[in-house]
Amino acid sequence: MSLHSVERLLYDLNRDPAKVATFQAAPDEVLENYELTVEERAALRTHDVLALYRQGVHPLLLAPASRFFRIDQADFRAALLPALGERVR
Amino acid sequence: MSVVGSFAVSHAPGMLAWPERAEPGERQRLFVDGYEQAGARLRELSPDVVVLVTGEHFANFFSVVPAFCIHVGEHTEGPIEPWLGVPRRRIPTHAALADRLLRAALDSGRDVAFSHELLLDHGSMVPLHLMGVPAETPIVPVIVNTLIDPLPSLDSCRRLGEVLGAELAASDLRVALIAAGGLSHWPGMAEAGKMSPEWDNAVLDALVAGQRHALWALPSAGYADAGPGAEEIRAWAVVGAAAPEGRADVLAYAAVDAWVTGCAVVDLQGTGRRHDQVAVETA
Repeated sequence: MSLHSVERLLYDLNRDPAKVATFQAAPDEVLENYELTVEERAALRTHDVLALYRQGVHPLLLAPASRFFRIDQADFRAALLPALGERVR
Repeated sequence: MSVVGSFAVSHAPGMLAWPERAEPGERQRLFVDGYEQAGARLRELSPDVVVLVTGEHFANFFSVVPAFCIHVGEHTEGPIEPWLGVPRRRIPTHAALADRLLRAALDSGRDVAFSHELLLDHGSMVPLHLMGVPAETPIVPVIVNTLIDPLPSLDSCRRLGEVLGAELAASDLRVALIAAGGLSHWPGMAEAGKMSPEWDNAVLDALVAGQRHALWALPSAGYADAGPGAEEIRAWAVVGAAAPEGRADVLAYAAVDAWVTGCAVVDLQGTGRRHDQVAVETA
């Protein structure tokens, strides 16, 4: 169920600019409202898109969320390259 | 026969958000030879309504994930993406036809969901905008879960399409069908940028040969050779089963690096020609 919590957070950020602003200024204030594992919380705090991808987060929630992490499209794609071939979907 | 035209097209968001990144030849083929031509054919048919079947991209489904959802509201809006490059607008719908299609589906054992609040994203706005569907023409949005595993089977898409097609054929309205999605792409993945012209062309060739059944005979999950974006072929499978039988015209095809998608524009009720290949041969 925890993976769903990560996806719920990213889904919510996609719809709530105020939540994005809070997440960027004080991430723990947002993260504490979601049931996350230590690994998920760490990946979200450090903007580790590769770790989130490997944890199974849906690519079409992760890709748009990268802009909340201030990662541009080219850097996002470069960050995922070590995971080539690891996921079917 | 009230289905007067049927089209199947790709809906890569880059076509609206960053068209300039594609090569001039790719833009010519897809925008001019493809969407503009398809739009001209559609407008020539003067449809009373457009039934638009497209895939989901976390625009509407998350807490609840239906396999299929028909919008029955009085209107809708789109695009929801502020970055898409087209202004958000209210779009008229044909609620009476939507209600009729919903009830026909339920009466036939196709337990589709319905909503008064579906919003449109690039999956719908790309075809509406690039084909120039008149702003006053009402639409009936049908969203297919092509995104969140597990997905409806292609056979389920066929069964829904057949019911919609029968109901439309019995109506007095002039209806145009548009399927939007695909072809090969790996959106948001480590493989993003990879495409499979072989897979795309196999689908297109089958449609040109009148072998619509190829759509629902495809492997039902995990298109390792065409990417998860190819799962959007479900929209084509619904419309392919709803449309009158016939040979397709491929108006345009290109695997476009800038849009990371194998992009096609197809008139499903054509004469069995690959206009895209004719254009290449005479170029």
